[in-house]
Amino acid sequence: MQKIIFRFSWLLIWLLLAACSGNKDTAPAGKYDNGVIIVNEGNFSDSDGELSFWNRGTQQVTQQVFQTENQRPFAGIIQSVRLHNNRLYAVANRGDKVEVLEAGSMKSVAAISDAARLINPQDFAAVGNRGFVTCWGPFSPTFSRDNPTLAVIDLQSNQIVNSLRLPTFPQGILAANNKIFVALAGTRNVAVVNPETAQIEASIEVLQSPQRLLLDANNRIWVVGSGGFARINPNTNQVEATIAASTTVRPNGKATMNADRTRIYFLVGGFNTPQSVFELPITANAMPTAPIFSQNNIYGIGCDPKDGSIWLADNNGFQGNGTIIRIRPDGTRISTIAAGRGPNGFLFR
Amino acid sequence: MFFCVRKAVLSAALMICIYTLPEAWAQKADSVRTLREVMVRGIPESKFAVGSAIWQPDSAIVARLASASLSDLLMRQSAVYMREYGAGMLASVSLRGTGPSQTALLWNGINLNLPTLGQIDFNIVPLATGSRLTVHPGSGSSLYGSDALGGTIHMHTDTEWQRGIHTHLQQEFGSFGRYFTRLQAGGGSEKWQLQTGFYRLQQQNDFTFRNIAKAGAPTERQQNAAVHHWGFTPEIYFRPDNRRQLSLKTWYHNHFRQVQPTMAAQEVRDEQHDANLRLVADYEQLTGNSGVFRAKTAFIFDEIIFNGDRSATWRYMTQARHEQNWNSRLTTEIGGNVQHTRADVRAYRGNITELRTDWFALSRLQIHPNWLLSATVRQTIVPRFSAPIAPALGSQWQQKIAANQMLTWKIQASKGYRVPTLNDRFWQPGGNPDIRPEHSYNAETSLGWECRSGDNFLQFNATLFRMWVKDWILWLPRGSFWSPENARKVRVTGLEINGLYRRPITGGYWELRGHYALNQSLNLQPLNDNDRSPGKQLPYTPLHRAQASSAIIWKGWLLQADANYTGTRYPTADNETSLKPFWLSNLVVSKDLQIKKVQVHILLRVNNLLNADYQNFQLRAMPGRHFQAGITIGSGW
Repeated sequence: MQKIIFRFSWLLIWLLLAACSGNKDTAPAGKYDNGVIIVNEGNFSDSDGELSFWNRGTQQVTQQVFQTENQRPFAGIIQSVRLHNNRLYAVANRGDKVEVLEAGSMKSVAAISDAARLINPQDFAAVGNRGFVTCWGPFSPTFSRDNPTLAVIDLQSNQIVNSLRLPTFPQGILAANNKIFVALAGTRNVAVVNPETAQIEASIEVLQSPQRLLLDANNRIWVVGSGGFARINPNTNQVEATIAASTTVRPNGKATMNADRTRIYFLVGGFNTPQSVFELPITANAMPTAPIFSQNNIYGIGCDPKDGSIWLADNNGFQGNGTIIRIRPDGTRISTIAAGRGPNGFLFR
Repeated sequence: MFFCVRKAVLSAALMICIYTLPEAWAQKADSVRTLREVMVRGIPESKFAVGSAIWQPDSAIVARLASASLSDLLMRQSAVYMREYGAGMLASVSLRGTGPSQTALLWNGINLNLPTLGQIDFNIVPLATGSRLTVHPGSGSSLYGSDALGGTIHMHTDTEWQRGIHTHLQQEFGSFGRYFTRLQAGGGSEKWQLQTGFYRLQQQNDFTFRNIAKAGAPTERQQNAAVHHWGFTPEIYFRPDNRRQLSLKTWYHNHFRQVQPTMAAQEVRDEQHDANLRLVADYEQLTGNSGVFRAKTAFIFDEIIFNGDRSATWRYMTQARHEQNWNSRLTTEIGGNVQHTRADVRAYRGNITELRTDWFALSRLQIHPNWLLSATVRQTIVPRFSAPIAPALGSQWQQKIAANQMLTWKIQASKGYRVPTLNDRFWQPGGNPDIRPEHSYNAETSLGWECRSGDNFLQFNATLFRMWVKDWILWLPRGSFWSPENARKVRVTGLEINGLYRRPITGGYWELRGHYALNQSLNLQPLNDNDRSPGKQLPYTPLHRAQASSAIIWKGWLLQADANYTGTRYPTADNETSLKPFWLSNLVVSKDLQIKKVQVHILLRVNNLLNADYQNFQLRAMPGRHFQAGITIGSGW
């Protein structure tokens, strides 16, 4: 029975996607439509974030795609890159901005910035023509984040239209069921925001320091934080299950779903130890105990939905440019790909 | 423990050998004692730096850059590279392809590198103190101790022993809200000299620049880059007779600056406040008719407040050394110093103290009228820490090849070291108490040629060197914090060429100077399997640096034009991205006037004459063409 629902939900997603992109099927495929965008956040003091692109056809990687296509440095520390309506939203701090790019050409459409309402932005999600950006707000002299916000962007005009004060500093953000879910990393809560009113309509207590939100095959939200995992039903805003972190396996907040969204791969980074990749099936009720892969300096994780390979971002200690390590779900290596400075994530296309 | 004792005994034995053995070889028949009755001025160690290159900037130009910093001077007048994080911002030196903590900056023999960071910002070292500068590239640890891997830069102050009182008042105005004031006064008798300097600089630094980080590269005004510093340098010299001298020197420097943000993040508002107090008492005495005893005691306080977060260190240092001129051929010196450091840094979680002892023995032998040799050794002892012994051997051959031409051939081999900083050892989290000192092996040879024809003077010098640095310390992310490791092995191969041509003209002279440095500084050790840096040039270490200047000094006028070139720099160790080379040119015009008893000196500087649009450091804006004008009024009576 579950399997049928499963298949059905997949079909539904495909139908939705097809419906959304119906008018774009006729458009010629862009230079950057078939491949993987590697997000290189850059070095904090240098603001030298960039994007690399791995082409599925040629299996070759191109560095400094933003600079090449826009004839200027990206100039920011890129925290995340999200795709919405055929546009890329690259969220950066140290050069607080959201660069809006045409996804196929990587040409910049707009650079959204606002000295008062877009400070230390972290992540992006959208519903229709409204984009939402989690912002840490300004740092206090002791690096605490006392005035975090959620910036609301009108995606037609690429202007910030509203700013919502958040109770604590946020991290990940996700759109599901026409609602916006915000991981409030400074608390134990996930905030539910109504995209129309831009008001918090619910606050769901999950576990310590929620960082990232992932959507599974059953349309459930998985909250990943240092406290472990929690599963939220986005219809009811109820927590359906929690899996507490163990003393040895404590997620660092970087996580991804596998190709069919039935497994979570997540990173654990300990004190002076290598980072490890662990696997958690969405049916599990306890933390895994053995990693599938370990190495120093793993700074980001993704999973290619086309072939199920796990992509790991090695930041090379920020001493030089990073490297992407592709592994199979059993932990064996497939290949490595050269990346830019401080790779921290991926966007699979 | 046994190892430590054995090492100490070994090093002591080696020092005694170096101190005493050459005497046996030297010919004792030579009874002419050549010690002059006046004190030997300058850097006492430099006479033992046989075989290594030494460079001094043109003092006439240094005097006309009094409102600039040491960083400005080295960029403009030498082939040394400065990593400048913006205009008037953090400037860290890269000498002979090494990093900023691998050059020792000595003020009257005291290492100014902060014990916490292991380096000093050359932009908070103003030239306004009037110190004499000497650059000694290459490993000098056997003479100057820790940090002198890439080189040593000396700042030395002394007195002219002038009778009467003299005062100078200087005022400068410049572009971007720049005001500089300097007062110098001094005077005294045969026995006493008192002198003091006071300086103050204020700079709004709101220059315009093309913001290439934004679409369309709009012209913007730099935000948050103001600098304000002041300081004073009272000094007392006492010379009771021709055989003894006592001096007390003080340097207080107070430096506030807004930290210039990157072009990308103009909204960032960081600020830093530095305060440095340096006190040194020097005593020199001739002993017998062939020796000099020198003693020094110093106190140094350094404080940095970055965005309200303070770190402070207190250092006490005492040194005693004795130089013996056995005959006209052999000079030896032995000495030691003790340094106590206390640090108050929040991240150390408690007060940290360190007691460091250095022992050294130096010798120099004129083995032949044309041939000079030196052997020097130094051992640093840090409790619970193994510091390497640093020996050096040098040779210099001088030969007259024609009536007016002289050839000099130098060879030097040395070992250098750097004791890890307090941050490397005690920072929490991440500090690594087991970190090893960095050490280097340096070999160099140079050929110099001098030609005089009447008053024409031509000098040319080329130095080839190779240096290996092992256990190079890098801070690397390890889990949730960063930690220092002995992660890098570096080989530097280089060439330095210096040239000078001076030609008299009616009423003055014309001078041409040129410097070139090639530093191939390669990383040899990968950090991990995926590291693409082995065999690549170190970050922010240009392969080529060149400088040329031409000056005319004529009837009180000085006109100097200079240009310097900085080659491609790589922001990362794997050299996959690069910053464009840049040329900078400057112009100085000045005129000295004597109006009755008052000396007047008028000055105009044009910096970045050709209005180059450049970045020294990635995304840090630099000013275009700008102007500075000043007047100095001086009198002596």
